[in-house]
Amino acid sequence: MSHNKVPPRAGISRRSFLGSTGAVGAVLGAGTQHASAQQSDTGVAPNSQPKIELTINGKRRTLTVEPRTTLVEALRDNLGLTGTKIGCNQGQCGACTILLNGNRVNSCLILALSVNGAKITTVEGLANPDGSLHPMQTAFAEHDAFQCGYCTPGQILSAIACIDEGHAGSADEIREYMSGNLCRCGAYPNIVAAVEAVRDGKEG
Amino acid sequence: MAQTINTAVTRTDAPRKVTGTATYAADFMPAGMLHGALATSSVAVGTLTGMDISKAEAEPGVLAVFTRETLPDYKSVKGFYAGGPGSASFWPMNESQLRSYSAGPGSASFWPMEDARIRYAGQPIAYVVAETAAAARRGAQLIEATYDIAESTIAMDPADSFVIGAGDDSDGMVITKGDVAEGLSVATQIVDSEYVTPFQHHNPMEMFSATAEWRGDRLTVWMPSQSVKTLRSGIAKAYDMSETSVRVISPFVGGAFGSKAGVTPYTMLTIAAAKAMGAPVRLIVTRPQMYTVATFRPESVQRFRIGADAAGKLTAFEHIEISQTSQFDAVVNPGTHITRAMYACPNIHTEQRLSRSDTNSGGFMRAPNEMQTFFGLESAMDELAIKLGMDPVELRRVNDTDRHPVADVPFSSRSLMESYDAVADSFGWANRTPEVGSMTDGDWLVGYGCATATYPTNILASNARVRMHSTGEAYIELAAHDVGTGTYTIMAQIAAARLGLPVEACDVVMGEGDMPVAPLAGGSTTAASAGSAVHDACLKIGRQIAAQVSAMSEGPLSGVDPAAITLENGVLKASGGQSQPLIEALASTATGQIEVIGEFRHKAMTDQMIKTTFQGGYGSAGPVTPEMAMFAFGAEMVEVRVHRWTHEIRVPRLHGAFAAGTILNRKTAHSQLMGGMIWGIGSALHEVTEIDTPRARFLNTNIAEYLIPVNADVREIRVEMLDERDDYVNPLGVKGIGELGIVGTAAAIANAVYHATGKRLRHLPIRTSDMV
Amino acid sequence: MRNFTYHSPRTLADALDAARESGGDILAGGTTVVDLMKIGVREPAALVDITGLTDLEGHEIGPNSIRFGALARMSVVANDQELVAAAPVLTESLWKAASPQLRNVARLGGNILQRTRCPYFRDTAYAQCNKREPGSGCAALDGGETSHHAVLGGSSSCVAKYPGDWAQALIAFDAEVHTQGPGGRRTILFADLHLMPGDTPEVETILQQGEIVIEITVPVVPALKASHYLKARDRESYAFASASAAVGIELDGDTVRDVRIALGGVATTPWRASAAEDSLKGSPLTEATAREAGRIAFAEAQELEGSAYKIKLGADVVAGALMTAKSRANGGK
Ligand SMILES: Cc1cc2nc3c(=O)[nH]c(=O)nc-3n(C[C@H](O)[C@H](O)[C@H](O)COP(=O)(O)OP(=O)(O)OC[C@H]3O[C@@H](n4cnc5c(N)ncnc54)[C@H](O)[C@@H]3O)c2cc1C
Ligand code: SF4
Ligand code: FES
Ligand code: FES
Repeated sequence: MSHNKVPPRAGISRRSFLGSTGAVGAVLGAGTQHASAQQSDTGVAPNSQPKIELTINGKRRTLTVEPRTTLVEALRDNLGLTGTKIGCNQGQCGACTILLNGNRVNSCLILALSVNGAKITTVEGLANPDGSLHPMQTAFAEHDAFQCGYCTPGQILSAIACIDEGHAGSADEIREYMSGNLCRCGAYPNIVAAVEAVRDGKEG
Repeated sequence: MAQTINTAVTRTDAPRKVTGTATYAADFMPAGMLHGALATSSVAVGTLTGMDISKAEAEPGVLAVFTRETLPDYKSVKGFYAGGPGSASFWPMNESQLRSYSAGPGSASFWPMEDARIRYAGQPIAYVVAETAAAARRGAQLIEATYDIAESTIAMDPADSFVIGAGDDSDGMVITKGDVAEGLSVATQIVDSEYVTPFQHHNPMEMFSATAEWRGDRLTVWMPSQSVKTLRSGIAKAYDMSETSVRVISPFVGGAFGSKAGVTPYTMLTIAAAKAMGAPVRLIVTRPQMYTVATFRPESVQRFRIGADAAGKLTAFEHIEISQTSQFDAVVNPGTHITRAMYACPNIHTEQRLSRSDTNSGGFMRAPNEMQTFFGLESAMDELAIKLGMDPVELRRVNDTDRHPVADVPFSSRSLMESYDAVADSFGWANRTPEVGSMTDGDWLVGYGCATATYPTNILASNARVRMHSTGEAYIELAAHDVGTGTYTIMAQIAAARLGLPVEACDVVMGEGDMPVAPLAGGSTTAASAGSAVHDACLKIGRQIAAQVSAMSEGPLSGVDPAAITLENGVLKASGGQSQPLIEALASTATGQIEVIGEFRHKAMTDQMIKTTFQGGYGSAGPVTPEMAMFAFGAEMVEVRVHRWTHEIRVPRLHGAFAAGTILNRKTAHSQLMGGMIWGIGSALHEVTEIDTPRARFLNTNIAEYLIPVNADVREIRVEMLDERDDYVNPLGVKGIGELGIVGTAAAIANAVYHATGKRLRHLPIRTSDMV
Repeated sequence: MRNFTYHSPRTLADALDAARESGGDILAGGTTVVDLMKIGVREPAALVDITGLTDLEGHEIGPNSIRFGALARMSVVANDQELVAAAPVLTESLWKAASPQLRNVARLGGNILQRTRCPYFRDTAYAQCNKREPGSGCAALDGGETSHHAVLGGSSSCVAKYPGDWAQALIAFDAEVHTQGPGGRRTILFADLHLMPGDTPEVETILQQGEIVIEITVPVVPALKASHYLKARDRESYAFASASAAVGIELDGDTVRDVRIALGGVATTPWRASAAEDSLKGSPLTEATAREAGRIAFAEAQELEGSAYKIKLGADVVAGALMTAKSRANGGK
């Protein structure tokens, strides 16, 4: 898989606090460099077009954005990576879920400029170069864990993170920790089954 | 070749859906594409007196701000609902209604930006085009409009209702059989109750969008659509273009549920904007705007008076439905047509009424006739069972019937009680203790409830093109839609089964206006109607190849009477025992390939119905034909828990058993029924479009505050699909399943809530606030 | 969204300068501020992205106090098993909020400063909203839909409820907020941070423009261990509270030595129910006294049309939370 991540488990955090270099920051903020490189003291002006660099699915991409460009629109409209979907644009549905430095986030409420330098995994980056699918993709297909398929890229990334975080211990836990991804078609029980199958190593 | 029908084939589009390569409308970005955004009215009723667009125009990135005065060549498409009773699900339609309906498939009869009138809140008033979506949306925010505000009301007044087309023209809107007063007078127990259901919005996960590109006088439109035919013919008519110069593309639809069926103003505005800009324009409608620029499920009041004798046999059945409609259209989703088909009763009166308020026109939302009416009917039946001291399942059994109670024709098949028996078994209904509040578990009050589900079998004319190659591939092409329903897969399965090919070798192409006509993906019609056209095409291939090989000088079927040859699972078989695999026979022909158009027509379809469908309308035959009543049936049982301290209502178990004729794909059918049941949970416990009364606006216009179930709300869902054979409905024996699952759920939950708590809730949704 | 100048300072001093000079909004995780900017409710000329101040991440459980950096993420803190054991109310009120994706992004400083979900506040089509446009009136109170509004702490200008969960745990346990602003560093009692709407609902906290929350501290007391956050909501997850309670209890035999009660989903600000606490101190905690405490917590409540249920619901939630806390105090779950 193209992302490597340390799950945001607590405990590590205690070693770091004010003054020391944050271990948590090193985990969650890894690789996110701030846009200060291009900015003067006066900041990045409203209608300027700063360049940012993102590592998307293992490839470095440079793009120009506006300060207000959100990550999801940068991916879809600027880079043509339309696998990531928009279902609300307001943090309410999870359709835009991607992995940001290994962690699942809603890319519609994140400013692209604020994650300059980050590593991003989208649904396009899950399959192997030879086209073989990530186990979670296989499990979703097998278990019919979607109908219209619109929420699916977000669900799959969220499901991968759900297991990585250690939140797939039981069906109940999966349900709770997959509740940030709405599915209007109502594929939920099959999504849970897919996550369980991957957790148990039954796919791929 | 293995039989592929009634098996659990994995969706053929699954690889695309899990890799993000399934392309939804807004994923197409033609070169040079610009971005559109809508500005909408803040008032509900009045006149637009002025608009200051200077700030919007000054916003960097904004290229144009179009108002009704400045947008050239904007056309409206009316008629879908216009001219009287004409909702797509209006049924049964008489000939004159079909004609008015087919006159111009479109949308509401009042269109924004034609004049200065404002008739509902959130009505589009301007269209901004910019270099980026963010700039376009910002431009729209910066438009300042002034209005002459008139009085408005968003909630209907049920006391002020009317019947459309009453009298001779009522066509089923008011029906009386026997004498209800008489029936009530002999009843031992009577339920006389009113049930209220709210406005609801479809909220598919995919937001509405439209992308338009003009190349000279040819137009391409990408838009998620449940009816590419409707869309194409509406657009072509509006611009006075030939249909062939309009391309409408909608290969994948991110959920629709009735919201993507018509031709909408936002589409036509985008087409006009693209024309004015001389560049492609894409509009993605914002989630809040989705509540006002398209349709919704109107609010309703369901009045029931049901009487029964001591044995539970119904003596009187009265159902009056009053549902909301806009000031300018009469949109009817006639639920009384369905409720009166359910139970045997000598005295029946039903009335379909409307009441107006200031909204855009409503439309159809998953089970548009059935969801609200069955919440009423099946709650009333539960109340009746309690009054009679009967088990609610037994009450249904006593009143089961094999003939339509009003039309007095037999059901083509009806497995209602088989469904009840199956679900009772899987659910453990026998463990229910009938007394209210008698079942508890720790801090939870537990209740069991049940309800009947049904869905009418609508059948529409359809065509399909099938081309088979002797190399072992088939191409299936039709203007049908996969809105998550599994259509790509089942069409491939049907062809594979008939032609004797693997499912993967059957390439299905759909979702373009140019393809052979298939019906609107609504009313659970596609599998039955379009599927039957694919089936017919395959049989035609068999006949044509049989004719060719029988005329050949050699070969296993040489010289056999072609009329004596049939196609079975990909093998041509003669009555005399000779046989030849179809693919082999095809290889022996000169071209090695064959292409035919299959057709589905049913003897119950009139020419006018077929014509309507072919013009992009909805010419459904059934569910009641002169010979038969066609319905799918099911039964649902649910366990509800209500928490002692938080008063939260949860659904740990929901079981359903359904009989809907042939099941084509057990995997996708399961998903559809399950999805419907989950929608039922939403309707029962979560969904309501709240209203702001003084300003006549929909209030919670987002999906954080308009609640739909999340994963954690859905626990054990069990779906059983019963075997059922129906030779009348269509050659495949298929009834629709897309909507069946939602129909009984809300009542089953309400009945279980009563069983748990003794609280009879006669409105939806049922919330924590009702439990304290 | 209005475009804006984007600042991403690397040091606190730079951040304070940028905030002061630009007059802009602070950007932490952005799940409130970017959302409000998208819908045109906030239109700052500049954003000062403080997420580069990685010193403000992290949290620490000390013997006398638990410290949370303003930039600690909700998810990280919620998952800290040591904190789960030491102070369940502080983790439960985090994981029961929002969604996993939002919690991975949202920071604690931003969390406590989240804005109301009042639909009239969030939709600029409504001309009346005193909180958004001071002096414009209140659409909710002017015949609007008020079943989700506050029954405690409202005024004739505004009845918007404070929607957050974590803040209830903080106010119940006497948390303090440490800030750095134009006037230097200061420490504020969490209970003093939020202001009731009164005549100025647009002013929600005592923070000055450009004042940055650095950390939040919670004194360690025995009642933290036997604490609980109970959240009632119409759907099981990813929903704001209809009513909630953050409680904690210290027992001396059967008698209550210390008890903490705060209410969510029902008040205009984070809400400490002191009278209800007083009713229990020195008495045994039984279902009856717990119910009485719940009743007292809402004694001053003022129902609006459709919101009466919150008073009964809130009281029951308080009682239910106390019963769980009691069982925790006795070594249960
Ligand atoms: C769909 C949805 C559902 C939600 N559900 C819940 C829920 O159930 N329960 C719940 O509690 N919350 C819920 N939330 C709210 C969410 O928890 C908050 O948005 C989040 O915690 C805010 O943190 P942030 O870092 O993203 O803040 P930001 O958006 O970055 O900032 C929020 C505010 O605080 C200011 N600010 C941020 N950090 C500082 C600082 N250090 N010093 C001074 N000012 C600062 C900002 O200027 C802004 O005004 C939900 C949000 C969404 C979108
Ligand atoms: S309650 Fe407050 S936030 Fe809501 S409309 Fe009134 S003033 Fe605005
Ligand atoms: S599109 Fe981002 S959460 Fe819905
Ligand atoms: S599959 Fe349609 S929204 Fe999830």
